[in-house]
Amino acid sequence: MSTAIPQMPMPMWASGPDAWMNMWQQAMTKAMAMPKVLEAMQKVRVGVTPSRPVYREDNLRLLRYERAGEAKHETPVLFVFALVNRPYILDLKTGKSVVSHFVDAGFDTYKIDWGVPGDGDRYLGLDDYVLRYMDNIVDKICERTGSEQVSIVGYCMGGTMSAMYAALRPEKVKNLVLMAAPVDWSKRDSLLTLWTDEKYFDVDKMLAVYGNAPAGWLQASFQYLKPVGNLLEKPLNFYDNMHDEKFLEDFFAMETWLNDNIPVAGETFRQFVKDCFQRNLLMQGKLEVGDERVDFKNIRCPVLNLIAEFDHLVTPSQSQPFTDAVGSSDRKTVMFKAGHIGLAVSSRAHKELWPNVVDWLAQRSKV
Amino acid sequence: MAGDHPFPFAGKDPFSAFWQDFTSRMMAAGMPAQPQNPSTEMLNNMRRMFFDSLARHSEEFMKSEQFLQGMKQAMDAGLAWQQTINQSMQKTLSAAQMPTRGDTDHIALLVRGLEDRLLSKIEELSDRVASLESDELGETAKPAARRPAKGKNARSRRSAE
Repeated sequence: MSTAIPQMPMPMWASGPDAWMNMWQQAMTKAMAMPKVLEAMQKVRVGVTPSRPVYREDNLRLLRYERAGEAKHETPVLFVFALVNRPYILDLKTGKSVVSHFVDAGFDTYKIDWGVPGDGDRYLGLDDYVLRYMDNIVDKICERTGSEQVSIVGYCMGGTMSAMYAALRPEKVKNLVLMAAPVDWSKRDSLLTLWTDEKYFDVDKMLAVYGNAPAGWLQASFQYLKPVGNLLEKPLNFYDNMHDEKFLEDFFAMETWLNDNIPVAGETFRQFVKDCFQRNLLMQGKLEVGDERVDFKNIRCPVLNLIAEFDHLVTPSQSQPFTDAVGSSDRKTVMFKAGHIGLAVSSRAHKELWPNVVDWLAQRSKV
Repeated sequence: MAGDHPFPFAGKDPFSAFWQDFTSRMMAAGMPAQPQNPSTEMLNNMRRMFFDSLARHSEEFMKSEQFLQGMKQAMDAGLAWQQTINQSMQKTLSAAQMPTRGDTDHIALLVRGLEDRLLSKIEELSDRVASLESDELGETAKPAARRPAKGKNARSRRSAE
């Protein structure tokens, strides 16, 4: 065994003509890949499972996913996404579609597309979204399918809203699945919770100036949660892999979604920041939506709480307490090794998580 | 500087902490390589180590009181600037007798108020109809299945079918 002290390697620029040649060849390979990059950019297509709108109200659309043959399960499934970003992340591309697992398993599957709020929507509050829009949608689905209840799958803020709805209208919810849904902000362990602390962030002042929470501002906030990853590593990773068609396809699909931010209605944003992030009223059972108080103990349906272990946006400590807070006896928490978005798009999630979620729901939806 | 969120580098120079971490990671990344022949794998490893270190320390910095205060000041300045623009735009539009955002906000509020009053009235009427129907049929009053519930209305409800 050598006892020599290892020397630091010589840098590329001092390694002689071979290294320079190698570097030049690599640069040329990347330059040659440019047409492929442009082609991949043009070809990007998101939202792959065929669907059609079956209900509209103000800005929102209710999409129903097309399925060959009769529904195998009596209870329809409704996907509720956050008010930030667009909901097609749940159906991003072939092989990365959460929705398709449910459609293929024979569920009558619906998804809410909240639309893009305009300046005039600044007064829409949580009561409008939860007690009016969601309730109308659930009624509409029940009317269409003849079912008395629906199963709800809520993602991120959509999960929080779904939990509120299930607590306020428990008789209409058959099963509740939450994906990385924050409900408890008592632990100040995430950057977002710190940044929205009332000591540093005056939400009233911001909304007085902008009306709604601006899309660009929200996008910048999310990007700066991981500045090294988003601003340095991502471009370098892209440069390294720009010759790989499969990588380009995934990269542009993901980037399309990440850059497709939408504003959040001012009043909803204010309530969410103040009552949830700053005062943590939801978990204490003190949050009021409209004139009704949200009490998780009212939720008696089966509950599946999916948590992303490496989530930097909604930390596990924000989602985990939900399972113990509900009044259901049939409740389960699944901690999955993924990030916030990885829960919906990672290959591992589609191989190991979603088939099990579909089975869980199938067992609890009448055949 | 200690606040509600203690500064993570208490007693240390933040740059020294980062530099120490970074150099030790670089050393670890470079150890297995042959000195005159830096492999791509080793260089990638070094790059990963550098970014890991930078990410960890930048996150700690973003949780620090200094950063949070700086962020607040930057935001306040940005909002004040935007407010000035909004006000001057409003004055310009008013002078040109054109509707401003304040006007559209006012209309939106009026419409919402009108809508709420109308929906309460409809709810009241449907309750009365249900009560009259049940009196007429001699049945016990039952809430209609599709009648808007409390706190819910059917504003601009329309089907796409």
